[in-house]
Amino acid sequence: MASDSGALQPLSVDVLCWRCDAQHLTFRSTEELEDLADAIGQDRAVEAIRFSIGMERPGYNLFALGPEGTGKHTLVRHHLDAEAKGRAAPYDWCYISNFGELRKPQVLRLAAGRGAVFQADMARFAGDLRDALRSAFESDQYRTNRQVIEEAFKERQEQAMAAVEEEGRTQSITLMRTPAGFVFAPVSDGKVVTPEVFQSFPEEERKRIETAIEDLQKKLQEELRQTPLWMKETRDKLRKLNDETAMFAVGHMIAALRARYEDLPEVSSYLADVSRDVIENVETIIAAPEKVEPDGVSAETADGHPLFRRYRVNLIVDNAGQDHAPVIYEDDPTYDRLLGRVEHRAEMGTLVTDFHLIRAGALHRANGGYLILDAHKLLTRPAAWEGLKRALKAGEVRIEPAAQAMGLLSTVTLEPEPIGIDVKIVLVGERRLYYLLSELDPDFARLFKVAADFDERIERSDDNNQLYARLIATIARREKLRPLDCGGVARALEFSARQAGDAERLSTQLEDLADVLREADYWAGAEKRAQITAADVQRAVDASVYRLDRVRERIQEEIRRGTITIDTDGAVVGQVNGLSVMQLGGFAFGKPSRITTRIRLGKGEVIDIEREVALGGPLHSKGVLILSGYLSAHYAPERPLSLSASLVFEQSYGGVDGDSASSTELYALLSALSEVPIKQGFAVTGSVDQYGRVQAIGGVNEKIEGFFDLCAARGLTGKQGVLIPASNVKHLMLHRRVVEAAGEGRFHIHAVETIAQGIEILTGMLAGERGADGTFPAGTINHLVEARLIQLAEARRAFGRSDKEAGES
Amino acid sequence: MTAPSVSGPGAQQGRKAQDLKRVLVALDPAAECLAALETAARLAAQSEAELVGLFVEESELLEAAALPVTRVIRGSDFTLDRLDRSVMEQGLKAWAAQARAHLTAVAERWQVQASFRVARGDLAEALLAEARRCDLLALGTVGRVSQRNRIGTTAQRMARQAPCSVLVMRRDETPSLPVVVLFEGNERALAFGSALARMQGRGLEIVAVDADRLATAKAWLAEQDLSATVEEIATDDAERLSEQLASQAVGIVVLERAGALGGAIDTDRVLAGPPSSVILVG
Repeated sequence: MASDSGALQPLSVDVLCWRCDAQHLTFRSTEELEDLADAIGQDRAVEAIRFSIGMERPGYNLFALGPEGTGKHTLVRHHLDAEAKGRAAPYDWCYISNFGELRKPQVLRLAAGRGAVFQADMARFAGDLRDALRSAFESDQYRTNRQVIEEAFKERQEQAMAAVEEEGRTQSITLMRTPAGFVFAPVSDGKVVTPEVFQSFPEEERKRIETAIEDLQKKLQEELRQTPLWMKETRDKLRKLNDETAMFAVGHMIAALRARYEDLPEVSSYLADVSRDVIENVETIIAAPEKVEPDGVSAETADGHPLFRRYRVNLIVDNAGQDHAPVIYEDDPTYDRLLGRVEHRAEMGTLVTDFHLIRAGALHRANGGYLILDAHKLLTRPAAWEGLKRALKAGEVRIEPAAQAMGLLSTVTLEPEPIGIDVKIVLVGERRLYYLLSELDPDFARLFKVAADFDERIERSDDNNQLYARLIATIARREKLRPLDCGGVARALEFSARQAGDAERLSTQLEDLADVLREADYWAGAEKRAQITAADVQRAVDASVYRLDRVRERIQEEIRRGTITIDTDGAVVGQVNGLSVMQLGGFAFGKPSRITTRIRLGKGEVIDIEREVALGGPLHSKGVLILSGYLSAHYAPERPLSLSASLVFEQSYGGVDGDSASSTELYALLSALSEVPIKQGFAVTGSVDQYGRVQAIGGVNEKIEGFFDLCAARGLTGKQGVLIPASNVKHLMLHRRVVEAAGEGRFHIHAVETIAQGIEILTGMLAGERGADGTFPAGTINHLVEARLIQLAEARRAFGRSDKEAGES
Repeated sequence: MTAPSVSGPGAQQGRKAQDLKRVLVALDPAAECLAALETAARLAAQSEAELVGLFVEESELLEAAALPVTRVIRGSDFTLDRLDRSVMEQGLKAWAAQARAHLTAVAERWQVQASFRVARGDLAEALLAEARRCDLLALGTVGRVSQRNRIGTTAQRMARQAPCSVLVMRRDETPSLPVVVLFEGNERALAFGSALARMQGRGLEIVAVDADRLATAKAWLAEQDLSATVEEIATDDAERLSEQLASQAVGIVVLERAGALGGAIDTDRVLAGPPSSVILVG
């Protein structure tokens, strides 16, 4: 057995964590630092944003992808705002009546600001219309003209009747108008003959009267039958008179409007339609009541009678007062909010609508500018994504109910004329969404040709440190926080490196940084400090961990109480402490696990119990299979691997994935085969290849801290530590408590490159290299392992032979 | 013909000058009475007088309906139908209901106390009987006079015989034309004239029969603080004056029934001419 001195030495303290030396920062407080206009480390994304903005062709919309909190929104917004300022304000958009087909309102485009003027002009027109028409129709001129026509009709009717009446008079018969109709009756001395007197007339006189009345009745009937024809003629004449009167009344109003908008042929043509429509509806307009509903009138119906509403203008996009192109962020991109909608109003129990209830969507408001949307929200709002794509493909927004767009609705509603759009869409979302859309939606690549890929980390260099400090200063000012002193900045930089999980990188997930700064400001306030110091930042970090680490603490507690068995002392054959990372919400922590293995004669399989019960993921299974490869190639290669080993994560009930425990499992196997115990003061992480090289894993800091906390709670013995892959050393950003213990020699972190190095530390025995004779030196782990494997192979052969013999006899 | 419209503080003082207590209006189912009803209601409202609406079920119609030889030509489709007394009774009831509805609506609009009566018999007799208890009888006419147009003949008869003041409103009269008062000394004529002019925003013209009356009229106007054109009449020939009034449209002609000239005017001619209404002040 070799001495410990041959084994790999623990890592020196200075590589366990990068410490930012406040002395090296060239400022005393963030107040001295200028704002950082651009994001740092996002050159690729910035380039893409600039390209997309500059590329004025369809389909060059932008997808800003990257992890949450990398400042995608801020950066996109910053660039779009800057670009938008250099561009003119876009058009105003109005919906107006389509008098030919009321359910298909027309759209009108006016220069920014003219929409509101036009709306006001038309509102005034609609408001003045009734009075103008009433005064024209109440004028003496009109009355006289109307009377002439009406009297002519009456005159005509009376003349026709007068002839019959006159004829009756000659025969002593009078014509009377009665409630039942026209009645002829005989008269005597200017009075209608009573029935008694009539009966006293001689028979022939009665006969004469009867015949005469019958004759007169026929004549009158004939005359009266002309009446409908005369009535129609009269109506035609009256209509003509009304048209002329109305034209006279509104003509000058329309003319004044046309003069104001003579540069806009669409408006002129609309005004001509208005004037025609007014003439057609003049009688209804005059008869319209002053108010539609006396009470409970909503703002929508306050415009009064529907007839006046139809001459008003629904200004759906008003750019008055805008001096540049819009940059719109739609927080809730539902189908309706994106593409606009037609609202309905309940009236006497039914839902009614008109073009005044057309509401603009974000696409309308952003028309001529930029629209920013969250990809995840967009995709989770029913029909919104399809609606957006349809609009982008068609280059126009058609306002129709989502159900109608999907062909599920066929009720009659408005079909507003589509509005042409020229808008650059920026989708902001996670990378996963971008890749999913690219894969699953054939339209996506055509409509979103530019990807701005945001990086979550940047290289840590002196220059970047300085830029990062300015970023911290910017956030502090933007959030109205206290300035940070250089110590506070240094600590924030360390936090950022830890967030990146890399001593040579800084995180660009600025949301987390901003959270810490805000919380640090809170603690600085609690301490009545004018500046945020390192202590405040540290307190903010610790406090946020404390708020989240209930589960971690419970697990640690159960380990200490022995409910979960983890040995941190002594030595055991076939048992190694592994390390896994648990992610709960935004908080990750390391959890030690006991990995054990048992060996027996077998056909060369390593049974992964986790996989057998479907608790192990494919990566874990892969790691286990690599172990078989390593064993069979590394030891007694000329003999069949004749063992059956079972591997298990003891007391693991939630499933394991990843191959970061494969080296651990290999150590357990080697210990079981060699029957050399493993020091339980160590925990191990790292994956392994078929040649026994230890490879990098993730979450190294959390894993080390997880085991450290357990050991520390039980009392550090000075013989405890963690084995990590050498390639993970650069990722070390360990908590101060671990670094301090390591500095004092009470806890050791070993970086190993090979299984041989690892097993030596874990067992205190040399691994052993195959000599010139092809064997491993005696007294080494490898020798013991090989010997055991040969022994197993022989046993299997013997077993097989006796089996065969038994079969033959 | 233009004249300053009547306004000013005096317009209020002259309120009850015509001093009415009961105003009778002859109701007919057609629109012919509406102008008369409206004016009567406003005059009644000014004087806080009672408005009495009278609808007459003419017995002649009932008698005619009972004749074996009579048939009715229905107004809706001009077909012939049998007729008897009960059909006519029902029809008259419907007319009465319509008339009552008109009266109620107008009375409500001008906030005047109103009562409705139905009489049966001869139209003119019934009106004359009721008019004895009233200060003013208002009735409408279309201006043409024929046998069919019974209210037309009745209007002429009322103008001649009614025991109170009579207002005959032409349905087709133009409301913006002025009120012309032929002033022979009765200040009620001035009061009616100014009230009518003010109510309908018409101009007021006073034609005095002599210089004395001219002065009286001017004094009266000054006292009432009213303005109007006042002039002396050019002719005292009733025949010529009738001719003049019958040949041109004036708004409302105010005549004094007891006046030498006003009483001699041929109201039949005036009412049959171009649309002018006439009020004979008793």
